[in-house]
Order: sequence, then C-alpha cells, then structure tokens
Amino acid sequence: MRAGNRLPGWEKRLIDSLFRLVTLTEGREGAKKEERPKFVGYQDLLKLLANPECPACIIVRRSLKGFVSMAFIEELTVPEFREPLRAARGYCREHSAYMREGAKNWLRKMGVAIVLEDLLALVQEQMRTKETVPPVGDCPLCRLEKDIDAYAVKLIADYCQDSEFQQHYDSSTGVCLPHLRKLLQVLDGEGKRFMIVTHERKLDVTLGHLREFIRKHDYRFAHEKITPEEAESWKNAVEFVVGR
Amino acid sequence: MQAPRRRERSSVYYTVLEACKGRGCPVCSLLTKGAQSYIGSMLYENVNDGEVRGLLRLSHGLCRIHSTMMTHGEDHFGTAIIYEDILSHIRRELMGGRVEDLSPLKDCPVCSYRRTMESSYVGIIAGFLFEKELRQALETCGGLCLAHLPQLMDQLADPIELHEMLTLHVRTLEQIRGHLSEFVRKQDIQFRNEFVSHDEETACEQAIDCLVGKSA
Repeated sequence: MRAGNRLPGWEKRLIDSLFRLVTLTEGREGAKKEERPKFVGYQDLLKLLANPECPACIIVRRSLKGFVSMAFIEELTVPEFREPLRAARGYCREHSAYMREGAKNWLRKMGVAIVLEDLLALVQEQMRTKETVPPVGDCPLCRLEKDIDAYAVKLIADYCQDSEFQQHYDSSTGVCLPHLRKLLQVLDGEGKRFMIVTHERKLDVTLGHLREFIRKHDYRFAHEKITPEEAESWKNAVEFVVGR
Repeated sequence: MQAPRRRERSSVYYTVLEACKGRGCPVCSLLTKGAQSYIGSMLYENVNDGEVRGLLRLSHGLCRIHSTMMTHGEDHFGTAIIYEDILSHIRRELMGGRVEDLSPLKDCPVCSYRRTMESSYVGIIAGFLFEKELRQALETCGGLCLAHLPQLMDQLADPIELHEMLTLHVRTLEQIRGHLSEFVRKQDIQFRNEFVSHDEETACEQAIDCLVGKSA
C-alpha cells in the first residue's frame, strides 16, 4: 500500500489527462475560434467521427473500460480505488457490466475476485452485527462517467465552429440525442445553429431509411430489395435516441 | 410496510415458487422475463395502440438497458414503426430549437412496469414466508440479491422471519466468498495444479449477481 506518499488514483489521473487537452486549447482566449489550437484530443475526435457511432459515447466507453481494466490490475491495493468502491458497496447495476467483462479476462479476474470477496465480507459483517444490509452509495463509475462526459461534450463544443471539424462532422453519424441535448445546452450562436441544422438533416436521412424499411414490409412492395442502410435504420434510430 | 398474512395463494405465488427452482434471485429472473414479455407484446400487439405510442413518444422510447433488450429481439419491424414515430417527434422538437423539449417527459414504460412487478413479487414472498415450501425454495436458490433483500426486510414484521432471512443470506454470502477465496488461492503458483471447480470459476459472476442483481 502506498501509505504516506499516496499517488493520485487512476480516476484522478485519467480526468486530469483528459482535461489537460481541453485546457491547452483554451490558451488563446482572444484568438478566433477558427485558430483554436488542435491537439491530440482534436485529432482523436476526428478519428472517432469516422466510426458509425456517437463520438462522445466512444470516449466515455473507452475511458471507463480503460480505467476498469487498469484499476483491477494496478490499483488493487490503492486505498483511493478501494475505499469509494467499499463505500458504494460496489458499482451500480449498469456499471457492474464492466466488472463482469473484467471477470472474463484471466489477467483481471483475480483482481475482480479479490475486490468482490472484500465487498461481500463487508456486507456479511454488517448483516451479522447490525442485522441490516448496508445501503448503496454513489457508484464511483457514475461519478467518473459524468466527468468524462463533460470532457467529451466540451471537446466537441470547442470545435463546433471549426470548418475542418464541421466537414468531418457533417459526413459522420454525429452525436446521440443525450449528447446532442448536452451540447445544445453549452453552445450558442453559429455552433448551436450548425448542430441543429446538421442533425435535422441526419434525422431526415434516418427517417427516410426507416420509412422505406417499413414500406418494403408491405406485401405489395415486399419484392423490393431492402438496402443495408434501411436494414440497419431501426438499430441506428434506437442508438441515436439512447446512445451506445 | 407490513405484508398481509394468511391470504389465499394466487398464481403469482406459484410463479415465484417456480422461479425459486433456478439459481439466484427469483425476483430478478421474473423481472427479466417480465421485461422481455412486455417488450415482446409492445412490439407485436401494441405497436399501433395510440395510448402506448403516445407514452413512448413522451418517454423517447425505452431506456438504455431495455433498448438493448429490444434490439436483441426479433421484431425489427415493430421497432422501426415505433422509432419512426419517436424520431419524427424529436425532429419537430429540434426544429423548435428549445433544448428542454429534447428531454423525455416520462420514464421508460418498461422500468415503470418493472417497479410495479418488483413490489408485487417481493410482497408475495414477504406475505407467504410462513409457508415451509417457499422457505425451502428460497434456501435452494440461495435467496434474493442484495438489491431486493432490503425491500423484503422492510416488509417483514416478524423478528423470527427476519432473522431466518438474514441467516439464509449470510450463509449464501459465505458460500460465494468461499468460492472466491478458493479461486484466488488457486492462482498462487504453489496451488496452480489444483482443480478449479465450476463454482469457483463462476464465483465472480455469482458475486456480482448477488450484489446488484441480474434483472433487466
């Protein structure tokens, strides 16, 4: 255990490294939005736009996955990792999926088993002594997700008026509805207008595919071939509404 | 809330009893089945029901967990009809330009249904815990998960029943902890040649199911 000279937890380091990228871009307050410096975060964002899913969702998912993967190997004996987990009585139902995934990997499975044994011991002790089940606290991954989410939204919002970014964004799937909502809350002026107009157009395309998919289920048009875009449209529609 | 005692056994009682034959929390397994059947009938029978569609429009469809369940199903046509309607609604809201209009106004209908069923199942267990066959069935499946156990304990007024339930669950936790400890021990180089049993191999999943439940 690194007592006395405790290193910041993985959680903090992850958030720090993510936000450092945004802070760097904020160096020139007076500069035009077009001239905003483009660092690693921006280049990553452009790469993410090539994927057929919400870039903000990818950032959140990859960061959480990375955190859990490393934490169950490297941070196993670090109090900053274990204490919030004990206080919360483990992760919430949704985030437990990351632990389930970790348990499938032989490298992390032992770490997951050690943490779970400790959590069950904690619950068992309280049930024996106090005859109650300890209450569930704030899930540490929910907190982390909130921070990463804020980073992802800020990153996209920062470049919304950049013409290169707009070109890439226009040809991408775009963000999901929960992230679009958050973006529209922080954007104004040209950036907000760009997001609304682009997403109206994207929705029109998805709606067109959905309507064709539905129409071609009618026996009169059943002979018409369903295109790959139409076949995937219902899935894309669900993913847009809830994220991934 | 105290559960009513000595009431007639309903079909739900037998459903719960049947669910106890499996491994793990019976409430979780019933809720998962319930959610699947709710989604199934929503997509197959109620897809053109005005009331259901209105509700789905307000809730922006289903939540993330239940949407995943829906997309894993077979009825893509029903999903397409419902989401065509929801997307048209969202597009209209987006054109209005008001961000607050883009937020769902109602809860996921499957989550609401789940909450109702959850209290019904837990209520049945609390109400019939004096029945030996139910207690035995709970022993067999290892009891409830830690998400449902506090709900059950809230409904138990009899201290003997409460103590019995706690003892049963402490025993289950002890068993899972034993499997976890053995799994960890056998990762040591000195004991690597020892056989890892199925229970030890799946102890992590059992522990997670026990901590948060596995209901959808």
